[in-house]
Amino acid sequence: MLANLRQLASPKNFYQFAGTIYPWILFLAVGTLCFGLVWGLLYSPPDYQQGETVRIMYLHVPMAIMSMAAYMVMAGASAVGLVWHLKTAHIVARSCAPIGAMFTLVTLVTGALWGKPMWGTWWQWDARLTSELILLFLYLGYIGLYQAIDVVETAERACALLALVGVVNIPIIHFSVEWWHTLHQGPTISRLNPTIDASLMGPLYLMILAHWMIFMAYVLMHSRTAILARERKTQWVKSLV
Amino acid sequence: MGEITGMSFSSWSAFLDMGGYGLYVWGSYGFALASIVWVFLAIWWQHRRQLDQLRTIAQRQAELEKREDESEA
Repeated sequence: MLANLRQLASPKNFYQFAGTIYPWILFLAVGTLCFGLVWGLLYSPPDYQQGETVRIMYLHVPMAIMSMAAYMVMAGASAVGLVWHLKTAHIVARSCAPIGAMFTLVTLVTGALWGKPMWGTWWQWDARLTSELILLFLYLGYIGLYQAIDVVETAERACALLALVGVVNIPIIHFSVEWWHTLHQGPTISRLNPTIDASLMGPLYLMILAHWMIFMAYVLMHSRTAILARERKTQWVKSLV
Repeated sequence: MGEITGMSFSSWSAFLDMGGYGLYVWGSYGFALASIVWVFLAIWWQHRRQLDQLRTIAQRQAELEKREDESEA
């Protein structure tokens, strides 16, 4: 059973599996994204307090969710890689880092562009914003650590440990708006009864879905490149190129 | 431009103006979409480069082996 799973998760099989499904996910992602953009930008109403700036939410919130979700996937894959010595899991974990960093950077930039007109400032050293900035540094540190170590197996293990230690930052980001005083608004959709108007919910959920699919497609694509590099001396890669 | 009915905006200029917040709203969408496209291209090109690199190595290897065979014969 476990041997079968290991076989399924071999870099070779994962390379082929990822190559088959990523174009479909990408196709669905682009479709959902276009639908969400038109709905969010054109057909959803302005907020009674924030006016048209509320439309920034349709990007900022999905990006912020994915910045943390990507980290949890990265940490989860790292744990699997450490415990079961699965090469593919380490490769998937590594592929999450640059994409997660992109989500985090866009979260910070769209947040600043939303904060300036609504709070009167681009940036505030408060708990939510600072912990999200630390998340960006964690991603960059992870990427840098991998590149700094020449032995691949050592790099993978060191990075997996960094990813797991960094998980402590995720609940800090999530609960920062409840634990500390902050300019940032409290939880809105991650509660039993979301305190968001139904007219804004449609495009928001659609955009969250689109961002999940973008993440999955990009991770699969990037993993394939990483597999080629990692397995370049094997027979199957040699016969592939 | 005529009226766009069923939408939040009555004209294209109102759409671009975003109630006076055009810079912030369009800045956000521009930056986010540019990032999404840029990361896609970066991943795509990296894959192409990796394949090219492996092909070059394979070719060089084949040439070396050929030369060795010739010198032996």
